[in-house]
Amino acid sequence: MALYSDAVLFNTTGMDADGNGVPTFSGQLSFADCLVSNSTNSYVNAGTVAGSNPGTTLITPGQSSGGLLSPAIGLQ
Amino acid sequence: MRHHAFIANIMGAAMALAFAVTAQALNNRSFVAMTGDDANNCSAGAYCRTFTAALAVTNPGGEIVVVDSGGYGAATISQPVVITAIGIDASITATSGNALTINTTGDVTITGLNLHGEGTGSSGVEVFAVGFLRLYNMQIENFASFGIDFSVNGNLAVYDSKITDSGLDGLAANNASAKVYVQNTAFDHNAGFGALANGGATLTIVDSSAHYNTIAFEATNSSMALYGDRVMLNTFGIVAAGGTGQLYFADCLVSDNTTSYAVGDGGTMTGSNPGTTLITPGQATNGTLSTATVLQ
Repeated sequence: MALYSDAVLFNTTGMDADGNGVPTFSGQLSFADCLVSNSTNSYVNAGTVAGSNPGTTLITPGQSSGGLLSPAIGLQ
Repeated sequence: MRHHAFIANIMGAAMALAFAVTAQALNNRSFVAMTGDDANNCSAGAYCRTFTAALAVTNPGGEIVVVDSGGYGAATISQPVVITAIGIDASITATSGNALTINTTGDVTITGLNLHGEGTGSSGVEVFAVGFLRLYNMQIENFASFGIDFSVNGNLAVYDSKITDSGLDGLAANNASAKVYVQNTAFDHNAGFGALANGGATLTIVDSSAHYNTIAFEATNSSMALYGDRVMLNTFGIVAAGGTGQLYFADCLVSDNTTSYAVGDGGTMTGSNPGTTLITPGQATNGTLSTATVLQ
């Protein structure tokens, strides 16, 4: 999944990538130029959740998260 | 004996009335038109003239379709409903009271209505209770108090709308459990705030604009996020106030206001790192921005 210029807010989990129990599958979610605010969990990363470098997405403070973000993808 | 007969007659009449009421089918979809008549049943072949009449004969969760351009009267919505007006000028002019009063625990969706207050109507949309209120493509203008007064525990989403010339605020969200999202909407020439989050409300405004207001956007003891917005030609651009007032912004333009931003009374205001918001020179500032939030 790729998210670009999206507003993600007021959800239980904003962005989520995992394998859904499938061992050979790892969810991939890339995002840039987004706003992620006011969700309980801004993101949950059990696969690959990657922003951009330089960063262009505002994830407002005050939200929980699961895991760490993956290495950012360099913008071209 | 005569007394018993009288009671029996009364009971019979009551049962007949009850049967008549329950036997009257309500519509899943009702229609209003300028050629309608409120004596009709609001069906596709017998339009009603006003929203009030249509609401009375529409099932909870049903839809009211506006057939043609015209004014359809102020209304109180006390049930979940969808009101749809597309491709026409469907209006409510309220020179006193509110154009729309919403008081239901259910969800309400309204598309394409123009609400006019003519300077004396109280509020365009006054919400006393709602589950989720969605407003699409609305023009709400010239009310003495609020364009939208949303001071309840509930959710509000406003898309593609214009809220202008309010005597007080364009949009006021004033409840700790109010969650409000605004997208692609203009707040123009409101005498108070373009949009205000107060009393713990949460308000996010995306791809929108505020001009010619006294204060464009303010979070008072509340949380506000601005993303992709244009804030210009206001007395105050963006304001965070109160001990729990938080305002985050990114990718915005703040220009030609008397004061671009003001942070006070314990509030915090935070831009982004790297910076993506242009605050043009020549505007006053009041208070200090907090350490910027690192973009991801």
